[in-house]
Amino acid sequence: MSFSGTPLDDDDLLTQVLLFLPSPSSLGHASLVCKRWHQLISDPRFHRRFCACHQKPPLLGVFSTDSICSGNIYFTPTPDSPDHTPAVARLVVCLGSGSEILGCRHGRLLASNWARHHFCVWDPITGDQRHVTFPQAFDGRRKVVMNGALICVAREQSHVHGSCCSGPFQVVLLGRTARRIFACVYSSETGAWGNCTSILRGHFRAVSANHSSTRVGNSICWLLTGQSLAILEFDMHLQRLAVIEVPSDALDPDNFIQVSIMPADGGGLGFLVLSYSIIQLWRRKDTCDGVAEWVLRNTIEMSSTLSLRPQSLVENPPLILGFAEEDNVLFLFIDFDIFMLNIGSVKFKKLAEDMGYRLCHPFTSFYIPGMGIGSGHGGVQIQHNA
Amino acid sequence: MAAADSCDGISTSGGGWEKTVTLVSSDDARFEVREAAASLSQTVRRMIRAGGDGGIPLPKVDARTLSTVLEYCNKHAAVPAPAPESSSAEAAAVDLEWFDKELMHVDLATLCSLIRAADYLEVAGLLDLTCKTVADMIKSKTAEEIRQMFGIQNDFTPEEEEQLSRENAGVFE
Repeated sequence: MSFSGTPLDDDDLLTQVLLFLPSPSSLGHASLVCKRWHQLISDPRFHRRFCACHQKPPLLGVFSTDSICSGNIYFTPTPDSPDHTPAVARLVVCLGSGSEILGCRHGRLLASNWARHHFCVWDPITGDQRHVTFPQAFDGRRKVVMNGALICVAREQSHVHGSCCSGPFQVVLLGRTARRIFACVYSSETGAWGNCTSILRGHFRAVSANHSSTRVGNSICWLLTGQSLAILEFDMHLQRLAVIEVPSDALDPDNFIQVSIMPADGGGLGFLVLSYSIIQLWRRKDTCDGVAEWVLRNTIEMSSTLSLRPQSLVENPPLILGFAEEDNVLFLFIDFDIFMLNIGSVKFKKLAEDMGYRLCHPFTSFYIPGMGIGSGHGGVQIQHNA
Repeated sequence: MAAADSCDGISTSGGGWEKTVTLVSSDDARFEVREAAASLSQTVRRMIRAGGDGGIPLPKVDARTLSTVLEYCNKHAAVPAPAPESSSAEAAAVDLEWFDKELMHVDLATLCSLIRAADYLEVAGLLDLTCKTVADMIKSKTAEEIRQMFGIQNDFTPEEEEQLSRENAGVFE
């Protein structure tokens, strides 16, 4: 008895091989080999297995707008981005004028439309778009919506974030009155907003419009601005708001300082302070007497890595455009170019040249060819022979 | 259950005694293997438990392929389990990785036979290794190159192919 044909004639073995392809993009060519391969790759069961196998979705690129509230959303792929991601033209969906990107998480983008009083939850891969109307109390008079964050709440053990398209999600709304800051959570499962929780606003004016929310463990964090800076933390489990001070170095009035909230190396809350060419990485740590304090974990000098004169970074200080929380990648505007800095490896990559200053909202997702992209329907229909 | 008749024993270099089994390939070649190594194959493990005379027949694997499979099994079964995160664990992992890499320096036909054998013999580690090797070979190839590699017929209609290519080519550019 012997085998005939190649092992790839066997669906199980072909699946086994395709699961080892390094990224969803490499499935692109494979899906064009023949109908059987295409059918197998297009199967949602294969998609689930692929995600489970790879665990972390790749950073495909960043979404940005050219000017605030224009409603036009642009996609810029990362340099090593898969070469099989959808065309930008199809991704610039009409989210409506007055829309502003609030951030991306778990393969979806959250935008707000202040004029129409709703959030827009958009899955660029499937094209699925849902509007979540602000709660009645947040009508812009009594209570004003400031910001929001999106989170996938799929509970299946096998779920891998980045392929959340049809899974349940929650939107955390941040609002304010003259005296208080409010948080309120919308659940796609119930289709309703929960109860509001609030905290005194103090001297803080607003949530920074230049920073997306950052997920740190069970919490979503925003940067509070006003007379000073602070971190606003919303604990998703406890449904509680808290204001956390930032490292004092972030408040140095004599220096031009840029900051970003980040998950710390090894878990917990981290904070990044960029001053000209120097990046400080801080970590919030509990002391033995139960009080948390900031500890400086690392300092990165960028000029040597970037082969730039320190002086040029003083003349044109780099600006933070965004932070990819799951990839530990910082997006920086340096000399009219956009760079990605991997905080762990301290390696730079140029994302784009002469694009001008624009906030970057990093987008990670398991994009697999054949799933139907940006069009809101199932993509190419192929007749598979029985 | 009684020990299988196909089990014998050999003395180890340390002066101990290790149980062996005899495996018989499709072309009647006989391989005497340590039971610990042979048991990396779930198929063989089941057959050892079931017992039998005159060696364990493996009618789907030829001698050439079986000898490579056993090379893999001997190496992987020989590795003791040191404390994780110790330096010896790291060295052992590097050594195994090197061994696996060398073992995969084979032509496509051999690789395909190894996948079939690893699947039939249920040697999970070897199946992963061989499938990953094939995935590495095809990851940067075009659809046409993959077809040529494996002799696959393109059964898309020209319209379907054009539509699919358009769908896949238009990247965020």
